[in-house]
Amino acid sequence: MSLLKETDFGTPASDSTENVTVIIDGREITVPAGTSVMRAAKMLETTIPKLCATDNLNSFGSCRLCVVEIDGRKGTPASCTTLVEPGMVVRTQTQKVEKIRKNVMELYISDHPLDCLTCPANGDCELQDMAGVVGLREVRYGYEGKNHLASPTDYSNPYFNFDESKCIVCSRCVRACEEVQGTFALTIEGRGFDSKVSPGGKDFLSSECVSCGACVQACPTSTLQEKSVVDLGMPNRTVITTCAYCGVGCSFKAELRGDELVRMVPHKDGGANEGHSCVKGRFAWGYASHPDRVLLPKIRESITEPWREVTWEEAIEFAASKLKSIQSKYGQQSIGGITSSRCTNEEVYAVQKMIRAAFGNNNVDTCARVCHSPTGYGLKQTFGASAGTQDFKSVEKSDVIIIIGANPTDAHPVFASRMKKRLRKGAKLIIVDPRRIDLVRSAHVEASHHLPLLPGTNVAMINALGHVVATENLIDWDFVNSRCDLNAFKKWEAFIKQPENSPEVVETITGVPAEEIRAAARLYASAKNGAIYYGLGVTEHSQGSTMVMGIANLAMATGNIGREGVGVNPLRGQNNVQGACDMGSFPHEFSGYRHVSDDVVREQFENLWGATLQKEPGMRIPNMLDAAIVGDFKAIFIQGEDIAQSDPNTKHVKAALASMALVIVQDLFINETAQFAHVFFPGTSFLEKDGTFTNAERRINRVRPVMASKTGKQEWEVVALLSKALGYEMNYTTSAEIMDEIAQVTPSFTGVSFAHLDKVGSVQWPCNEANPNGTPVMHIEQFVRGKGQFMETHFVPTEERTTRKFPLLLTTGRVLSQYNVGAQTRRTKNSTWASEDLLQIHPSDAELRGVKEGEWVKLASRVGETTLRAQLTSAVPPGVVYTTFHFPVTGANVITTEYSDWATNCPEYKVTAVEVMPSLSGPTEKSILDKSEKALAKNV
Amino acid sequence: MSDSSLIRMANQIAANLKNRADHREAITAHLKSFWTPKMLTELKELISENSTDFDETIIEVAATL
Ligand code: SF4
Ligand code: SF4
Ligand code: SF4
Ligand code: FES
Repeated sequence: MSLLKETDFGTPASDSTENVTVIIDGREITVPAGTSVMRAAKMLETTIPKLCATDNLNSFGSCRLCVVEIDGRKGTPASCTTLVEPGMVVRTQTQKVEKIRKNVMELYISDHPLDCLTCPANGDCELQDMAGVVGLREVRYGYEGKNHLASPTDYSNPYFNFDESKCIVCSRCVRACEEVQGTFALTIEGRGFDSKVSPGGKDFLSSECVSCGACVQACPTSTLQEKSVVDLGMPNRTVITTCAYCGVGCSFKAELRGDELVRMVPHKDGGANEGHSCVKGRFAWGYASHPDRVLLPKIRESITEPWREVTWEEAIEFAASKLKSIQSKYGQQSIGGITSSRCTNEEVYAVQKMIRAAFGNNNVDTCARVCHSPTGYGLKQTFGASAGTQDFKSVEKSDVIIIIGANPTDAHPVFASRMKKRLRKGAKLIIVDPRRIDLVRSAHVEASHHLPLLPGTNVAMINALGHVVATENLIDWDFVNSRCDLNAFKKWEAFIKQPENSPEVVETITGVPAEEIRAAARLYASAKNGAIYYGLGVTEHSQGSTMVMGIANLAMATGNIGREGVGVNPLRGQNNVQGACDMGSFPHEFSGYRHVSDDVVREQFENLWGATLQKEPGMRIPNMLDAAIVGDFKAIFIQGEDIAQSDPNTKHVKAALASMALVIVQDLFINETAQFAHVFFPGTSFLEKDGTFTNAERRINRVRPVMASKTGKQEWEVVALLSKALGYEMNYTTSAEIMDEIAQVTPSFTGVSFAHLDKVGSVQWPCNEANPNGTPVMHIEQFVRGKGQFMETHFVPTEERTTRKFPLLLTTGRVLSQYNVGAQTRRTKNSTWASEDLLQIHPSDAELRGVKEGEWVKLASRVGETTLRAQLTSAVPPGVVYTTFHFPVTGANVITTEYSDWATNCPEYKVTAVEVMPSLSGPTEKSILDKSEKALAKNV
Repeated sequence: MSDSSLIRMANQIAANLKNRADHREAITAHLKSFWTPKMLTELKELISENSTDFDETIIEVAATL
């Protein structure tokens, strides 16, 4: 499509249910009370000139370009700050207002460089447009005298420039940073003529700015401008697509000039983000054309040999014949595969289908195993659906929000901005996290309670919160009696009331004062709308699944399910974690979470696929790796996932990979895992994919090809070719056909098709005959499983304990600018903000060990050790250290152990007993294989 | 599967479910839902070789699988 310009109504919509009728330029319109005159006029398609107003910001009334005349009122009020009143008669085009507007424009232009023709914003500048609209022909004030034309440009941000000479001080950037992003990095410094925008510190880069780009988007001139637009020129066409980073799943307008991508601008109609984005989605897409991308298939007989570039045909034939011979030698169960949460639903569906139908076994798992598998398990047991209950918008109605084991400002930034908006309006916040994450206290946000529990004690904490609710008569009896299974509730009630779950006992386990726990529980339970959001700090524990059920219990006991503003909401790490799970990637489930042993379901798949399917569950990732080490599992297909970096206990993972006879990797780059591969199928970036992603709120968004596939193929085509070479044909000609098949076999997807998504934008599953436009909030009248099921959640301490040798607890997380194992973000300028993993350590622990800020330290656990730099901070409590796993050179997972969730085997990344000591040097040039792995590799 | 992983997983499942009144059914259902037939066979073999490594409840349940 040509360049998409969304309508700007000038001021935000009012959500009032009362209506007001007014007459504007002789035409009548009825609008919600609280609507501005400017917005009402625009609804009649009457555009009032404006500069300081835009409809994602509250009106400000500084430029005076939008003046109108209103019958019976004196003067010329600004239409952006004047609200409609019953019977109001407005005139937007009179000689009087036209004269004022011209004068205003003259003043602006007299202090603005007249380089329109060479300005990067030429054609996309509201100042230029307004000069035209008001009919400005001359500037009487001349350009001499005092002006800002010589002001310097700040180039410090790697993605946008700040050219002060072009600034009209409309404050849109300042307000965008406050109202949309919630960072408050910008201010207007000085007064009158001397007033100017200031990013605080010396420049943008050294300021509080998190580079979300909201100010750049809001700026009506070229003052704040993307560097890519300066370099490549203004785009001229748009493709609407979806971010491929985190589980927020922001919609974007990919803006191109011809075939070249110039910029990504968040899409106003995107249900998940409503026009906002973070630094990753908006700016960090350069990896897609990074020279490290592999574009041709490669094969090799052994991992000690160099790669050979070959044709697709040869690579497919090589992979297929090896898979076949391995299976004939070692048995049908000796091979399997892993799907990726970074790939589209269609790509994931194709891989699991290949494994079930062509490999002939259920040895398929997904990288969600290592992040949110406990969510799937826990929410299915309690509510009956393996998914979050709300849409993101729901947070606007929450009164008390609990965040557990999540750091939304870094890991889910756009949702964090939404949440912060609600918190600034007065909602209360409770944070359960060992670390003092930014939301505990940041600009205009302060948590009412921070419960800094010791890593590994989540279940004790959630039980204590439940105990307070049950013993202090805070249970919502109406909800429990009408919506929940009463037998299960009674068992839970008896269990949770036991003294072992009291805050006083739990204080000795978690380290959090009992009174603080009681106060937090009372606050949540007494809220009109209480919502819980959680992340990997909940799931990546030996009791991850128990904790998810504990959260669900608490929400049910307090009646916080089934309407806007409440709910249990997992914040998913990667873009398509929800989708990968929905698509039948788990070894025991077909798409839509139906067990492989269900004869009716299996027969449906067998009939449609024309294949015999197995009725017993297959192996999970850790089972496959374990089986590889003992020689039972010999070949693996890995779709877009770097398990040698992302999975726990790296040494074990590498040893398992090295012992396999065939490792097939489908990815963008030769990653750590590909060092162990025999076949490399080049993958496509999200800019080339055609398909759908499903975000953390179950929203199915289209991913549209912005450019042609650089490898000449879609990833599912490669899977289909491999499947065919193995003797099982898939016969798809487009990815739309794959979605049609998904809809045919998956009850919660029956109403989904590319055509429907193209029509309505996006839908949240279940999307079927009963809910053709999807389901923003689940479990409204009854739970998916019928009655809500309370589960007893006994606290079982992890076996991972601190010892004299390893006295500290390591927990892991993310930073805003990097993503997962960093394969994408490290190949962009996002490394400007974080170019290495750091070890956060409390100053008292550091002092004890002689560790100094910025110096190298050795971090060791019982399974391995690594070196990284120390960062001294009281954000971690004494006894706890923290790091990220974005950089392969650190290899933080060298440290993490084999312990995992009891129900799902989700690794216990969040608790590792470690010791930290000063180190003289940093990581040395790491060989890919250590000695034992090399020996193993030789035997292959 | 490696023996130590299997033993650890089985004991962990028992530890997390054994306080439930219906723990036998719960453990059986869990193992049948998520373990491969080969893992179940290996579990039984390991128990018959050396049951001291295992939680009692697992031993009871495995006998009925
Ligand atoms: S980029 Fe975002 S955080 Fe930075 S100043 Fe602009 S709005 Fe604020
Ligand atoms: S930088 Fe842009 S948005 Fe900010 S005050 Fe100047 S012109 Fe307005
Ligand atoms: S919040 Fe997540 S989905 Fe949105 S732009 Fe950032 S990384 Fe992409
Ligand atoms: S747009 Fe109304 S005062 Fe600026």
